[in-house]
Amino acid sequence: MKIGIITGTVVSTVKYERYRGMKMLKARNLTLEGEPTGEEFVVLDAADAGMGDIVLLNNDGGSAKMVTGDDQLIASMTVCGVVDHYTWRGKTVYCH
Amino acid sequence: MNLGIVIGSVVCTVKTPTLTGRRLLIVRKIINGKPGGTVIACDATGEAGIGDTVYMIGRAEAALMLDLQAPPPSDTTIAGIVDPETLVG
Amino acid sequence: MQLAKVIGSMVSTRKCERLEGMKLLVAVPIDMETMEEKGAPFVTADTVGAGEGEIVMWAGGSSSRQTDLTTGKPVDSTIIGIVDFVDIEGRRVYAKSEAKT
Repeated sequence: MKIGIITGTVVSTVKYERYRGMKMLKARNLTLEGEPTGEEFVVLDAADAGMGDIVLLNNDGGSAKMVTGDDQLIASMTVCGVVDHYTWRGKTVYCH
Repeated sequence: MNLGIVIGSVVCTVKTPTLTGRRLLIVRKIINGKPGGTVIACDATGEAGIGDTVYMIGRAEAALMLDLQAPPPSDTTIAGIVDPETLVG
Repeated sequence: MQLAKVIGSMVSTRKCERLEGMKLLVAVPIDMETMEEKGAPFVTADTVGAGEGEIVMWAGGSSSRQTDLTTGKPVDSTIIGIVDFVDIEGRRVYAKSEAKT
């Protein structure tokens, strides 16, 4: 899993049927220093995250089934938590 | 999943049997808000057309989203169409 | 999926047992907007009977093993279609019937 930041929302009417009722967000990965890195991507939200939140991103199809409670769901990246703080090389970073 | 804009289509008569009836669309990827490279994607929504902003799923899930029982060999699949007036950020 | 042009074939006698019977072709990536060659050639498994000079569509990763011929085979790219037409923004950039071979 990686730490990321929510950069936007995605609203879509026409979608894969199992995504119906699920919130979708845009996110980017964050370095531990807090810098956005890599490409922006679309994620399914299972943790009620919002714009600007620092989140825990899980990039695994099997985990997506578990965090959403739908064992037929086909998904890649999911938000599975909103980060309160993390400690790294003895330094604690508070996220909100 | 990555965002992209549908810009075209590909037609193949001779193809793997499990791809029969699948629409093959050319999508320009949007990378950090800027246009990127192009990719051919199968359309799981059945409704995507030229000019639509879409999001695409990759890897093994691209095949499974099209058909769980007999997954076609798709490595990029359009999972949904973004409502254009709502795209922010 | 991406486009490529078949430029040759590859034969290997001593190989992984699971690759036996697999037709292997050499292809070069094609930029789908200009239809020009782009990047380094690669070896790919063929499931549709493609031949030299043809423009083909190929899939990579684990999806390349989702055909009857490549299930359980150690391949990382598979030709899954022979291209007839490519249209971009209403413009026909490629038609097999008009292509020079």
